[in-house]
Amino acid sequence: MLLESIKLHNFRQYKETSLDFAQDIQGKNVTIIIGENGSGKTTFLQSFFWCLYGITYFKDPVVLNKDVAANMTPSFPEDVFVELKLQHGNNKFRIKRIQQFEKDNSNNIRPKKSLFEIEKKDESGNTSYVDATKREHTINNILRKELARYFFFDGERIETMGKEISGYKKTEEFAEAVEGLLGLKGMQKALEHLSGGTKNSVIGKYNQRYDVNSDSEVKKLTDEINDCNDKIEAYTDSMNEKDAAIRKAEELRDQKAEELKEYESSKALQERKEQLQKVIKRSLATKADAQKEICRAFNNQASSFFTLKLIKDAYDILVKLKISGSDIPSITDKTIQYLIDHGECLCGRHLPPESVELEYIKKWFDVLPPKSIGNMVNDFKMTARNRIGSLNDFIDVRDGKLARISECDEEILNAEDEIQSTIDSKLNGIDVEEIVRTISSTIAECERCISRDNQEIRELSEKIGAEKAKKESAELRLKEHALKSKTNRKIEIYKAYAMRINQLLSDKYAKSEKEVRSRLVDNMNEIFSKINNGDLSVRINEKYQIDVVANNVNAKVETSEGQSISVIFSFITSMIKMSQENRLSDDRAKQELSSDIYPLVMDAPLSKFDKKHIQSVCETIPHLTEQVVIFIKDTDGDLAKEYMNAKIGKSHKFVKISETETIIE
Amino acid sequence: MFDKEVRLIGKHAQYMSLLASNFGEINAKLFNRNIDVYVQAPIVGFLYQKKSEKDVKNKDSKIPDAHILKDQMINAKDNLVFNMQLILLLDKDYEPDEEKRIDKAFRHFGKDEKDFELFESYVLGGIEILYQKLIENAAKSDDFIDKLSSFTDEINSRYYSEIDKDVLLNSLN
Repeated sequence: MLLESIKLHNFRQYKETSLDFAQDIQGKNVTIIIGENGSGKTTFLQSFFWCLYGITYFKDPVVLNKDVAANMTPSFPEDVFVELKLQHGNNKFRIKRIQQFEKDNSNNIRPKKSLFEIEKKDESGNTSYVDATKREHTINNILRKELARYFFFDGERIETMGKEISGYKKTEEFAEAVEGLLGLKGMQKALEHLSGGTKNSVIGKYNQRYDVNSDSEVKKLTDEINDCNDKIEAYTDSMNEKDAAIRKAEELRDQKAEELKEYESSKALQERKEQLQKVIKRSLATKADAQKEICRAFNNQASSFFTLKLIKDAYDILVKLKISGSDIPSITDKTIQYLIDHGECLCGRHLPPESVELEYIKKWFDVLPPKSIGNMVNDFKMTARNRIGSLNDFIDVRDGKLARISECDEEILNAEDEIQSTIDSKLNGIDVEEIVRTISSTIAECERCISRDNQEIRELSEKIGAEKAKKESAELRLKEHALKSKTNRKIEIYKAYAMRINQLLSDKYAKSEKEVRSRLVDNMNEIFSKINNGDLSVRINEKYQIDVVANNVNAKVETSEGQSISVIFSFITSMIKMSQENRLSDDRAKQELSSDIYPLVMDAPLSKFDKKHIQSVCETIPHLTEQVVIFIKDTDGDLAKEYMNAKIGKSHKFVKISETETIIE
Repeated sequence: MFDKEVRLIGKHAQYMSLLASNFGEINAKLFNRNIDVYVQAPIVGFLYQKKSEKDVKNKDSKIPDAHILKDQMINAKDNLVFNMQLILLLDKDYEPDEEKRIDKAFRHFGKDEKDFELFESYVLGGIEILYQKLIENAAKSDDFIDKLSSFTDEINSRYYSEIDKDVLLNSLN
């Protein structure tokens, strides 16, 4: 299929739009369509689907332009159509889908069923219309609906497929796409026809056709073979069921293992929280100790601390006093007066009136308190000295403790902050341990089921083997007996031919499938490594499960979103490239696997890659197939033009006039 | 003097009790006992030039009186005498004449009842200052420690920036 042109009428924001596609003339096979976000690139892409299959993926099923819908009146219906001109094989087709819309009296838009017509022009220029009954078949012949999405796809679709790949989901679909696109489908159908079932296949039918009346032994053996076939079928069904159960259990186990990983990180969070709570508790205790120590220091030093200034002022006064310093400690004027009154000195000498002794002792009045205060002042100074002496840098001690307190505060704050902002929000008050236990037990249960089913599959496989042996021996004996009857001899010969063909085809299929898969992997890796600098490569197993492998460790790695997109990009582009290779090959074997030309229509393939990858993507795309149509954001437009210039045959630009109208420049 | 039980009433009783109680959530105390408040208060009162009178307005209120036992007074007597001497020696408003102040502090110490009244008014004023600086509006331990830090910083910057403790200690020898 090669696209020639498309014409849109009232389709969503395209009131009247048509454009041509590059036809690979002089190697220019790329059509680029540039448009800002929201200009309707995806809608345009959807118009292909709508035209071919009558489907869209819009939420609003009404494809009629909103302006037209608003201005409609009940008596005048409006049409929407998309007309696609394309070549397929040696024929040219014009496919036009029309849908009429009416407005009822309550201003509701009523769509009618869409209709489509196909005009076909053959090699000799004869034009004919395809019958209504054959239209769908014709479209499927051109491009099957299931495969269409591999050729017309938007950015979101790439993302979804990327996720499906990393989750091993939809692998059958990938396998089917490969079979369909790379020519394996025909062989598969032929095999099914020959030996696909015990009753309806060619070989099955021969088995039913033996003439049992001629020989009772033939009947017995035919019954035996049928019985074996029934058993083999039943065992195989049972095996398939077990296999499906195992897959389901594996899926559940993997899913739970993922969940467990999350909860294990929660468990780590819980432990971290407890650790932080300990830090908080310890810091609070240290802080309380430091606070108490400040209080204790204050308690001990308050007297000294408060009086230092007053002592200094007092000293400034006292320093001016002239104190003899000859007074006797704790002796006052009262002591002397006592001695005079009693007329006797402490030493026992009498102190008679007007005696020398009396006069001598009276002199003490001048140097003792209250007349002299030397002694009191000395006492005072001594207390002052003690007070100052016990002042032990209270402020420094306090500041040391305050610094410790502030460290503790910071530790507490940090811990609380981590708990609040990074732990509690994630834990959300759940009992992690309980959940982990439940998940673990589910995983264990899955493991048990898997192992049990595997055991049963082994047993079934043995039973099937036994039945097959029994069947083979019966068939051998049947063959001998069959040769005795003319009719049965004929059947035996036909069957032998059918079986031989089946065997040849089956071998051929297995070989081709393996080859196709290995070529697919090679091609994918070539494209994939261009995009990913060769650090990663891709593997595909027989179940079409795709793994990304880090080359340096040769082990599977989890892919990022960007890498998953690269995988799907390389998957699709490889298939298209291989389909083209088959077609152009001189090798007969490859030609047998050939399918038709397909265009590649991609929405925003570049927006998913960063700048350094865009170049390799741009250089890869034009060589994939005969026709490439890509939609590009206006910001990537210049890059695309720069890298693909030589291959660009047509370039269009979408210009958004309003929310309801886009035109093509 | 200073050999009898002391009883404080009204707000001063309340403030003194609070100053000598556990605070916040850590069970720490700013002052161990009432007597410790009583010893520091006159100095603080004098530093902040705050005198106060007995809170007779609240005499009959339900605020319990605060007591300091006689033994505790006697044990603290040396400190109390020293503090009172300091105040008598330095309070120029009370006695402008330096000679007379010296007499009041030493020669005639304890002989004038008014001197003791002065001392006691500084005790009450000091209690109010201590309450205001250390207790008022504080709830958590952090608040109390913050207030204590600010208060001691204030005293430190007000009075001690220019005093060299060691020089003073030497000159007193």
